[in-house]
Amino acid sequence: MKKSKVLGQVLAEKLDLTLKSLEGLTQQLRETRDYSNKSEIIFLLNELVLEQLDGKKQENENISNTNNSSR
Amino acid sequence: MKILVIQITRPGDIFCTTPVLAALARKYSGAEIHLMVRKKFAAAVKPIPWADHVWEMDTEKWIKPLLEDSTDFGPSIGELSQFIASLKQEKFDQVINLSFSPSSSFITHLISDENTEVRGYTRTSDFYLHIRDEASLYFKAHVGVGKSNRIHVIDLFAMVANCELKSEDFITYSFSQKKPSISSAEKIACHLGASQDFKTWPMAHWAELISKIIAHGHPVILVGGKDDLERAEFIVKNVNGNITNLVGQTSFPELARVLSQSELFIGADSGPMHVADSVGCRTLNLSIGDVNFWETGPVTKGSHVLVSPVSHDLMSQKVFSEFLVMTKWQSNESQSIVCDGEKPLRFDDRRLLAEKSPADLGWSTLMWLTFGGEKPVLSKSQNEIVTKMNELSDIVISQIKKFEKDRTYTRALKMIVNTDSILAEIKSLDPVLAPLVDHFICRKENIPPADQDQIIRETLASFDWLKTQTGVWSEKMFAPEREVFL
Repeated sequence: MKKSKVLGQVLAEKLDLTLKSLEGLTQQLRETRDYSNKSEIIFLLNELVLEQLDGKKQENENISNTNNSSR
Repeated sequence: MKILVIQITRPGDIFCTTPVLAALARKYSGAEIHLMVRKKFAAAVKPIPWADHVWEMDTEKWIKPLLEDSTDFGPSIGELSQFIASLKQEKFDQVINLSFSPSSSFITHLISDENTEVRGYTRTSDFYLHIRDEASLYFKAHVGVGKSNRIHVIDLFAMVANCELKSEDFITYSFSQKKPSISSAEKIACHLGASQDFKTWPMAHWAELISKIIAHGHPVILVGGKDDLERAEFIVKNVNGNITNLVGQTSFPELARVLSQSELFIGADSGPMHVADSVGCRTLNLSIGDVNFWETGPVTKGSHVLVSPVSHDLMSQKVFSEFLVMTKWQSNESQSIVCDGEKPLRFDDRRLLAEKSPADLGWSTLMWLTFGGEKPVLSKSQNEIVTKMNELSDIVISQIKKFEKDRTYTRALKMIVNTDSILAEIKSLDPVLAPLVDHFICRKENIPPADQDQIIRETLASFDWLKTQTGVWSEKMFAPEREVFL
């Protein structure tokens, strides 16, 4: 397995974990109807982590596809 | 006047944004134009013309502390808050968000206030997506994979930014001082990769094509980023002849200079293709998979597009024949779609009239709904569905009014939810009707938070819209059943 793929997977797992924590927090903020500036920053952070995770998953997918085609 | 344009997607989108920056600079002469891009792309595309200041969005830096401890949000929130505060301090008169993503909509909302003219996606006070301008509503409803839009994103960006593009706005790149060490006149630039694997043409096909181009006397330059290195090595190893491999060696401005001196660019819908546009280099675009060339294809007049749903099906001989047409070595008729550079559609669609895909059929609906085009003639079964939609919207309107009177909204809400499910089914069954449903749903979902009466009024207005459109459309104009190409 390529080193870049291993690193990509580790990062994706960490991002996944972070996303779960953030989603818990944003759900809590919705329930308590906390619409403060700080709360909105947390929602933004949640989206940024989600984007990173999507990007990382796509990169890993591309790497694995490249491996398949070269085989 | 201070304007912030947010473009935090890929480099290709940044190049599609630069013509809009040029148009804004002309419209608001003397205005200070700021641009926000992702840090990793800012470095690659600098200098960005017409941007007086570039804000770099450093997501990696902001979320790094969270990767070490996923429960300690403090440092990330602190960094991000600081960035937002700096932007807010600028007191932008206009914030134009051309990214259409959730994160960009939060940023737009966080940095704007009641004095800011906001265009593009933003958020409501309770953080739901909010769209204030018609062009962005159009984007939400009709742009993307599986949708029927045919307006190029550059034109849509200009519509969102409320500015008029001129042809000179498309030649945007100011070159870096450092010139590449080659002279590329008459050379053919090939970009072997694409941002996603499904868009990428097979390497064996590339090798065949490049061999033929070289045999015809044209030197070839390979261009692209570090992700394309393996592909470039494959070509260098397997094809003999005059090949210059610049893959991974040029910044975007340097690539722009190379392309400005090239006869033609061949490649997929990608960042380098948009760079070719930014210097007026014609493209032979290999549009593979579900890529919508209408939205993101080349805009340089005289560019050609070859469409293939499956990458392997696009044979090298077909691409080579098109190459010959474009370089005038042969006069056989083009089999591709030609960019004629005229608005509102950038491509000549006459060749497509023979075979109607679902997207073609949907486009005629969209033209009628949003651009005053001719009303599409419905088949008998379509007419029945539209008539039922008209009746359904009428029932919902009368029931909402009844519930409004009795103040029993729960049942009205249930009815609206059920209507949404029925419309979603109709949309999945008929591509001609899909844009109508998409338009309606998008309008209805865009109702901002307000008191209950206001929400009811706006919901009624959206159902009234559906009733009117279906009423006009369901006149007794029957046409024979049309075959749908699937």
